[in-house]
Amino acid sequence: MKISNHYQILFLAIPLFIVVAGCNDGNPSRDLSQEDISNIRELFKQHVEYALTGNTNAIVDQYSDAAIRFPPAGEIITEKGAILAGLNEMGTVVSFEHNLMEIEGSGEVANTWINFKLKLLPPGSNDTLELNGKSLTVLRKVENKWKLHRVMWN
Amino acid sequence: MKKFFKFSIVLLLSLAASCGVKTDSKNDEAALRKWMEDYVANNNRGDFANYGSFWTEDVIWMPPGAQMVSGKSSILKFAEPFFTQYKSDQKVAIEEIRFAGNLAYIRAVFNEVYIPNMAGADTIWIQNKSIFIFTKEPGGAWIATHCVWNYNK
Repeated sequence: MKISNHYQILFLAIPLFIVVAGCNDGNPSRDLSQEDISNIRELFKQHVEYALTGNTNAIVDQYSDAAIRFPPAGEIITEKGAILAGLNEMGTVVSFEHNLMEIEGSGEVANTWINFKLKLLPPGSNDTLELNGKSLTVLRKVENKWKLHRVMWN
Repeated sequence: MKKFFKFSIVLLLSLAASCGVKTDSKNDEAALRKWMEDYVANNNRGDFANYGSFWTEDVIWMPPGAQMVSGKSSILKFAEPFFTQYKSDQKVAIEEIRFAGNLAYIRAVFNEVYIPNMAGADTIWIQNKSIFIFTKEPGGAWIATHCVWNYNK
């Protein structure tokens, strides 16, 4: 069998292109499917809705069973009961601007960073408190649902 | 001709095998612990010239009480005074390491003392909790992409 040099190059180049194109380049966001990304976006959309309607039980349901919150100037909060108590102590959410800046992930783990502006009416107060901050969240996929797993903000 | 086919097939199989996600839980955990050990040793040595090697070019930092810092040159600018104006003594306790594919995170608590080089300045004691996010580079090394931290008090 005689194959010209051109065909030899093509024989190598086409599969090589396919292998390299399909190869993971180390960018974690590329490991997440579009469905994963949509589901994570939806999780945060619901999170804001629950916060604005004071549905703290629904917010706690968005956390994994082993979730940990890392508030600024405070100790870490573990266990869903403590997370719920912490959310209820925050008071009424008057407004919540939430900008999801980035979603990355691989397999069952993802991370996001968010800029937020939160206006709260603390319990027993007539004065609103405004918080401008940023948060980094690690999410885990549990039984095919993305859950908030580690949440740190400042 | 046969040689060409053999060479092509070996090359393609090698490429296919070397790409994709390589997960080796034992080695990955050891590598991430080593990253943190080297990172703290670097900081305690005051080695600013090497500090950038721990972070990706598009790294994101989320420091408390400050705007988000994006990009290696920006975080180096942010970190430089801690190297040039202080001698640091950092101790770290890793509380959690998790990885999936080419993504990992470390949760850690740092106890840091910054002793000023100039007279009259105060020593700074900090205890902070941190989350570092990592990506695995094509060569298999882990490198940090994000860091967020805040203080306990």
